[in-house]
Amino acid sequence: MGGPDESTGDAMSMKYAVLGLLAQRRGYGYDLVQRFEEQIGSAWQLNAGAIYVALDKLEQEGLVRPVPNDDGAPSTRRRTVRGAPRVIYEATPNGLDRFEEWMSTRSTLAPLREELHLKLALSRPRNLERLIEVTYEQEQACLERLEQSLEPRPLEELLGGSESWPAIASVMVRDAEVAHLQATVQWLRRVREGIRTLQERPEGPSPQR
Amino acid sequence: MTLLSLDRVVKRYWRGYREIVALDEVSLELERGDFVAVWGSSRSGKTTLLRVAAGIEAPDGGSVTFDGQELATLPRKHRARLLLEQIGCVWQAGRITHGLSVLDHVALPRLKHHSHTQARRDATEMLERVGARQCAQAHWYELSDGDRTRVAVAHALVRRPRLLLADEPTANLNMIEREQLVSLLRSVAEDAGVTVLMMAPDAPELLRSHRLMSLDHGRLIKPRSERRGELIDFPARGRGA
Repeated sequence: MGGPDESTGDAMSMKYAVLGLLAQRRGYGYDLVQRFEEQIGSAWQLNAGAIYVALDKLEQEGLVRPVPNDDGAPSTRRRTVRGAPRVIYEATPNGLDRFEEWMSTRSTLAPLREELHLKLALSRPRNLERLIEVTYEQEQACLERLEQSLEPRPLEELLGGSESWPAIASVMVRDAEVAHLQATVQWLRRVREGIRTLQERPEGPSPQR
Repeated sequence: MTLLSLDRVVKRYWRGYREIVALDEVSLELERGDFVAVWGSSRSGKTTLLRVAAGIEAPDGGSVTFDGQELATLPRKHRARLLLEQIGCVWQAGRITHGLSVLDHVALPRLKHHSHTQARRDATEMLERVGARQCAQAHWYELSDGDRTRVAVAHALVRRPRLLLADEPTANLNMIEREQLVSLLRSVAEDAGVTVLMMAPDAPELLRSHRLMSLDHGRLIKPRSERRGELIDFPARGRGA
């Protein structure tokens, strides 16, 4: 995925996300943070600083550039000083090409790394009672995240209306997190059910592998 | 104002020599116009929770209060009247009254205080609202599973209840029908101020509720903001004014 000189990971995804936002329309740092939140949602847990890092990198590579001021001089980004002039960026023709190239590449599948998986894998029979409680706590955390997605307008309704593609796409992205959380809750229930079944055996769960 | 309150409700059953804890200290408060979805798989205690909330079954521990009255302390007749007039229930294996057409069955709860003509008019209107108008003259055995669900919802809503308890009302519906039904439940909560407690297995319609909880092995799992005890409502996304 991406160009040959690129590493994979969040930083690279962020770089293309910023490039994509600027391909939609020009914007400045804080505007990009807001548009990212609006379109991609809270599940990403965006660190706003990452947007500025991505902007720097994109600018170095000539994929975005500051929009010149009215007097024609390119502005300098001074985001650390309160009241500094706001620098507006736009994607360069090169940037637009690179973004299209990225759109057509295969996406990576993130590894599933949950602390609970480690606890489960490394647990011993004496931990099982507590593990059940941990799964309840995890389910509670999933509910809290799901609650942020409580939505008066589901995808089905948007599809039947005259919503714009960006609005529909952002609901689809939100649905991805919902689907993941629902699957996690189902998995947690299966784990609990499995542990309980073992505990109900007359001999209990075996400490041996 | 709190309409329904469950305080540390416990319900146990015996299955052979084995005791099943169907509800394990369940606490829940529902306000007027709340639309709460409880997400649970089969045998998680969902139906028991509804039966206890409706006053059909008494809890073994804790208390259930409807509109400030503890249900267990009310005479049986009084509880029956609550069920007829103020609490609408949609059960999974609902039936209609033997020998009646769908229209007469749905009109039945209105007959106590209204003329036959008025009751039938209300029933027709409600069948229309749930999308089952075409079933009005049919009998139970002629209905599809989806229509049976819709008729059950109409029967529960026609009495204009203050509380609607629904046990997997979307179970036999397709995706679009589910969406329509949940929209209806949401609108009766938001527009008519009916408090709705809906049980659901695993489905996206859960997310159309105002609050979401989960039930597993009789334990009600609530988001942390609820667990603190006070009723902290979540950002009023999509709630009617």
